[in-house]
Amino acid sequence: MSQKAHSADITIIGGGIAGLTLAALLGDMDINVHLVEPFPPPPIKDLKPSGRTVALMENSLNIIKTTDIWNDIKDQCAPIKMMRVIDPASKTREILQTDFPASDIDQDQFGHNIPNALLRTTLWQRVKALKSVTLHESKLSSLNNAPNHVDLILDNGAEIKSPLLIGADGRSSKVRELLGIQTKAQKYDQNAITCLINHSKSHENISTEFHHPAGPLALVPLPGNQSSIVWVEQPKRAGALLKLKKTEFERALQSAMNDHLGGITLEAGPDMWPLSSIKAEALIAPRAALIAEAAHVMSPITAQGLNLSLRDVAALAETIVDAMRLGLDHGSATTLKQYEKRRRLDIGTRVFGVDGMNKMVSNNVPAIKGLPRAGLKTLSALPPLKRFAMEQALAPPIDKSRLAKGEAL
Amino acid sequence: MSSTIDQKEIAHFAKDAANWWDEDGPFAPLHRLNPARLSYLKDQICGHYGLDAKPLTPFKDLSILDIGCGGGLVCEPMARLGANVTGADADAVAIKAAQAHAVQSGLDITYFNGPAESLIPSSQSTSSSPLSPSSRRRPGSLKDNTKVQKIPDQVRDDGGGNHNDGGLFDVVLALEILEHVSDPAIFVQNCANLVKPGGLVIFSTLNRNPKSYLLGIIAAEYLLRWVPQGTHEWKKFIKPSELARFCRAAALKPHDITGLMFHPLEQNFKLSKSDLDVNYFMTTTKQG
Repeated sequence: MSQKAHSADITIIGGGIAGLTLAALLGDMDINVHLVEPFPPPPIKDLKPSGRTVALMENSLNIIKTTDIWNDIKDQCAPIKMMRVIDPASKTREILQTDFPASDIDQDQFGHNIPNALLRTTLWQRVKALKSVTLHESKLSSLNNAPNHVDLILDNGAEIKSPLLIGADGRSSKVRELLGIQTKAQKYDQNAITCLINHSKSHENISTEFHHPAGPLALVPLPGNQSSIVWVEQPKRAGALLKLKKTEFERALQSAMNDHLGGITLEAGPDMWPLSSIKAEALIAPRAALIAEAAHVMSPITAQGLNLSLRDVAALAETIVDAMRLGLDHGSATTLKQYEKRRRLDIGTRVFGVDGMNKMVSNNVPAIKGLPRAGLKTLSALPPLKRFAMEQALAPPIDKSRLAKGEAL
Repeated sequence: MSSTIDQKEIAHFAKDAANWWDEDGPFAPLHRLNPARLSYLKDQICGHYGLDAKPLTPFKDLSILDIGCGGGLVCEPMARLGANVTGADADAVAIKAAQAHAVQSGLDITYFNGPAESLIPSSQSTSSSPLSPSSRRRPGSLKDNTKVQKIPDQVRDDGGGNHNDGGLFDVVLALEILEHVSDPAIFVQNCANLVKPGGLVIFSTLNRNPKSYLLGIIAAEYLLRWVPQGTHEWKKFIKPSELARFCRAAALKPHDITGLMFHPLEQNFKLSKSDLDVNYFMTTTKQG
């Protein structure tokens, strides 16, 4: 866009999956949305295979489906029909495998595993095609509060006046920094390795998670005999694994997978990053709201990060549109407090809940290590409890979102 | 002209006018009440005119007059929903606050400082009007301190009849004002004179009974301190039966009565079809 003064109903900083989904939902309602993103995704033809995928549960997928892109990507996504948790054998215990079929909660599948880059590029194109959305390939430089709006200046000199600002600019959010919102961060003595593999045996659309002492290893199905891998290890060991030759890495991974999917070959990756959790101390500020990783970062092991983020998107989109349908100021403190109230419990329990689970499954202290195993055994033995646990983990009823239920905005 | 403005009432609200838009300020109760009452107004107006409530600007072909608009807490939402809005208030400070806020919000609203009855076109008025029909000027534009941005010309005929409805509105709102006027019967007649035949006049006010004295005055003014003491005079509260009688005398046919109740646990207001004991709405249609 040219370097001039713009007026927006809503300005979204950050063109990741969450920011783009919000822009697509609101833009579709003919709301004047401006979206600021310095690094647009590459076109479809330039996308490379990657182990970075996201397992979206059905209710999150319903939110994505509202943006009308599902038909464009579904062939490259795989349904997850069963969750399998494997506690490998130790000196004192035999191997323990627990299966959670989606049919237990009367579903065909828990969700779908979707390549991140494909999802982002497709959303970007969808948003680009919307007349009511203006894209700025630039960065937020400064923000000033006026009584009924914020004045934004971008790196390219463009100015935007907007009654509502959304920070969707990720874990190092500039919006969060400019608003002066503090964060609580937790670093883990763990790194995550991601990669994409081909395997000789079928995954049968089962997502499998090994609970190794150093951290979990998750195999998440993709179409055909392909899976994406999230492998959590101690930083030293993770660094050493990344230095291995391709065949050595494949051997190490196949062994960590107990040969579960037969012989494997590496298709893309491995990549590595340190694990951390971040939680913003506030979700809203005058004329501004944070969503997704600008508000919360979770370790990737339970595939909850983007699911949580999309629930932010749905809650905020619904709150904004509900206010607009009454003619109310959609950036007022009253409106923003409703968004904050809707999200507080879900975000609060999940960011710390996942922390707790991660510590529990990777703890080597015998007394504590016994807990998840005992817990799983109990779950296996008691179907109603197991069903409840699955519904809590996979289809949280916390936020009554109409988008998550598959209804229109 | 029959003026129904009570001078004591104006002085009372003028003190707080600058704070109209502070959501936690002295008008916090109105901000809290706003979602429920806007929801009621939208339902009634969409229902009456057969408008789809899903799009964001369903009122784009409607003219709305808000009498006793204060700082514009209802005018602005009506304008955002697409309506051509005129707000009238006898309190010059509130009107100034409303005008300033509309500019900040980028909304085009006509604000008028003075008695709403002076907006009645002379042909409709029961008494002499300050409006000269030949000049087609609004009274607001005659006053030095009130800039009226545009004249709400209702010259277009929406198929509602063969009458000349110049200067009349599709919807007239009189919210939380009946209990403040000196003569509600004349006030209701003035509202009727401002609406097109077949158009809507929507009132909201406080019922007069022991419960409304307890909740509307003792609780709201003295215990919860929602509104300043002296805001309301219980004797001026109006029973639904009285309001309905005033309406029928003014050729306004009441067709919906809905209560508005405060939910202490959720700290918000909800509509109720059965409980009219304290706050209630009455929607009426102009006959003819």
